[in-house]
Amino acid sequence: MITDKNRLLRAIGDIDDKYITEILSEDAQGKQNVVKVPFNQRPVIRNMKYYLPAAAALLIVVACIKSGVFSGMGATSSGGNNAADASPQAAYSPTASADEAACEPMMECDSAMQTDGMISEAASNDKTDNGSVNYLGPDLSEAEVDMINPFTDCGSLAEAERIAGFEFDVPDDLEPDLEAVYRAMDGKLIEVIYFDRGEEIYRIRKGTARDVSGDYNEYSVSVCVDAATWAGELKGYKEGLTNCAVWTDEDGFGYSLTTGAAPIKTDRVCEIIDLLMQ
Amino acid sequence: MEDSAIIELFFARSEEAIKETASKYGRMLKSVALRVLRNMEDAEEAVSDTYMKTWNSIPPTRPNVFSAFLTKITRNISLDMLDKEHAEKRGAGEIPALLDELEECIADNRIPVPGEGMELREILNAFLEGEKPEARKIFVRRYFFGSEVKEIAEFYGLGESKVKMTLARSRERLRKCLEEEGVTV
Repeated sequence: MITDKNRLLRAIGDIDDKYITEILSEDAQGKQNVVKVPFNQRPVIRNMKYYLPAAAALLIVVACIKSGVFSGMGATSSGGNNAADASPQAAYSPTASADEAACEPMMECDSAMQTDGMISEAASNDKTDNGSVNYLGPDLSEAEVDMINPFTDCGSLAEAERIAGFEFDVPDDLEPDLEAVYRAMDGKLIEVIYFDRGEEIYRIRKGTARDVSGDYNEYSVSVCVDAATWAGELKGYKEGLTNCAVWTDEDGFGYSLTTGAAPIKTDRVCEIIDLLMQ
Repeated sequence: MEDSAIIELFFARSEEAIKETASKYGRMLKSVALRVLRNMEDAEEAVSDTYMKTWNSIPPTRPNVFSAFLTKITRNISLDMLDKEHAEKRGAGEIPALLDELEECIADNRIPVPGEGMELREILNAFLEGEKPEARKIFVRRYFFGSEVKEIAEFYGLGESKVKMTLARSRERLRKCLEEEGVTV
């Protein structure tokens, strides 16, 4: 036993991602609940009966003007109505000083909003389905979202080996009934993905790093293997089933096998690795 | 830029990965660090260290949820910095208060070492899973993000006493969870 209450605080830092993204998403959306503000700090609300008619009239005038402008501008207006869209890089600076300027702490923002008695709309924040949260990030154009894929799709293993700059001895009869897709990363990695009627069964990799799996999952079962031609670790959620295997060879290359949706029997994974490392 | 694209930049060892990460998450990470450290310089240092650690972790690591991955790193780095003498001199923000509150969950201040029964992380996740959404979010804001009670109350439009009561009940339920798993008593 450890008599250290700090461990509990540290352990809370390792809770499931979903509980963290739940909060980050809320923050990205801003305050959604009404903030209680003392009555004497609500001059706008108290005088709303005077402002509402004026605001309504102003809105009507603005709508009329906009309508006239857009009808006159025609189709070309949609492409040039936002200078920021035309130059997204202007809003984006990777330098530390610019980052600092854009990085006003949320706490301070919150305080400022509370002082004003206003509810944040956080209009520039964004949330995506995969837990990604965009905090006042730049609005990038579609062209910028397209990025260079570090992988090159290859027609054959030989082509992948040529791009990677090293060999990967995958027996031709390793998976005769499965479709194989070859990919390579220049000078770094070869990947072979096996599909069965479009469904990924598993993928194997060889690369210059020790762990090339790219698998961040935490598994409850881990078995270390020190075989004649390879040494590595087989990981999964149940004994006898493997979701991810990583191993190395004598030359320092790293290998991995990661399964698709379903784990593979550990014995079969060992067989595959044995075949690869013969 | 999508998270997956940023992660691919890390895999390609492109320094643009750090720039894109800073652009998208810099403000959020600084906020996380600042809640723990309560010092702008230290928070900036923690965020810079986060980028460096991320750079060293990816590859081979491929985070499932990039924002949570970064947040955890920043939080851990910030807590590590609190252990350093210079940070202690400037005060540790909410952390002493958090520790005092969490001590209630450990009846005799004992937590098992890894491998001794159910892992603490699993107990915490099971506990959070069983909490009602409002209580869970308040708990995570307080003990993961280190938010002040006042801050949480204002965010949700609740009274501070309500938040304190919710936290106290959550801590009591956590204490029972820990007890049931044989962690304490």
